[in-house]
Amino acid sequence: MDISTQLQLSTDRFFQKLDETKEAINASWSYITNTLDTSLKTQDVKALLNLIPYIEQGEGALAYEHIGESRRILRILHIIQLELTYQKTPFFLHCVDKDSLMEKYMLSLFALRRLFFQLSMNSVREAADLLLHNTLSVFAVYVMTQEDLINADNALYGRIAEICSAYWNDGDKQLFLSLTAGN
Amino acid sequence: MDQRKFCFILCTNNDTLLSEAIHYISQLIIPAGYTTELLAVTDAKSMTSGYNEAMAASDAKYKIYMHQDVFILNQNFLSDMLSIFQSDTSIGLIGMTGYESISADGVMWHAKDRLGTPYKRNAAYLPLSEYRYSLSEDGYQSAALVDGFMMITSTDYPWNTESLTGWDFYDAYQSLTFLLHGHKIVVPAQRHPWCMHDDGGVLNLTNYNQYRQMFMRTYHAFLGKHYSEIGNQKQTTLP
Repeated sequence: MDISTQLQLSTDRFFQKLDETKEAINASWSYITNTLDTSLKTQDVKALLNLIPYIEQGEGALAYEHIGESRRILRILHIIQLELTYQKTPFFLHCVDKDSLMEKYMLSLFALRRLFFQLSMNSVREAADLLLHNTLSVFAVYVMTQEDLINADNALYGRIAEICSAYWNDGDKQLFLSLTAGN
Repeated sequence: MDQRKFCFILCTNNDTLLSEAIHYISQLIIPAGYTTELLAVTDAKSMTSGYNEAMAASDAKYKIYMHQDVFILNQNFLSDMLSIFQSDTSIGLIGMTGYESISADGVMWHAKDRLGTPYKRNAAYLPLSEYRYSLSEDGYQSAALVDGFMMITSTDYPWNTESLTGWDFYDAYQSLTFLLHGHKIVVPAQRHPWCMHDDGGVLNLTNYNQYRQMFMRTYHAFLGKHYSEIGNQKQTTLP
């Protein structure tokens, strides 16, 4: 069998399997979004964090595999888990549903990117304002810069530390320094 | 047609992404004597219908069809693009990522000869502040297909709304339309990516296969072919 035929057969198999699991993917994605909506509405932290094993080891893995947004949701849940463990203000504060949670994450990520790319004074100023008025924990900044689409460097970490030092305590600053040292 | 005008065209369903994409567009340096406009289509039935609607509404010679999750990083994007179009009038379409051949299974990214530089994590690029594209030193490469996250055209051809009623394969179909009309498709060599495509790292392929099957039936003769084997067939095989 030539390579082209092998490729076509393997692709056909992939899409056949995808078709077979389509409903399960949609069901797991619905479960994740519904759980986020209800748990954020009622501030039910336990239900919120139960999504972590659901996505990592349960049926939610299907959504993780096929739906990009679910990866960011898992990232946010990890941030929240760390924040709660270390008694920091949780990322979901003021978020009432999945959409507002995602919007907070995306706006924060956009601000970090603007600080990194520094395309203009205005762009950097807007980003700094956002980070100043929408407080982020050390964990949120660290997870975003380590795991999302941004090539953070020491210059960026320096700029972030300068802005966030307005509301980070000494312990936070120290933690951020130690987490980002050597990156 | 306004020969000195660029039009950014986006189909959008997310204000947060759109506003960030517009922020990066607003940072671009506009070449002297040129103007820009932006058309955001908010209630498109499909990518092709949204793009057709915007295409008909704009008199700009240069149209930049882009996804709402694309952020243009190269501030000289417009003049660099212009330098490419002006270097060879047969260039009709520029992409940021493309492929020299069409994969035998119709899946664009399965072709082994990818062109362009997508923005990736942990990649070592030249610092953006130091980056400047040079047509003579960096150049560009010809492609058979370009990825739809960014497609820049210098001439208008209708997008295929009859066959493409969703959000997939409009890029492959439109690329072939350009090739079959005798245009070249190129992808600039980018020492720093010209833009970032933040698609979340996973493609939603749940509706992809029906259009792939259709593409394979329509363009069966071109599967596995290099761009150089397609461009000379002109309009005789246009569906």
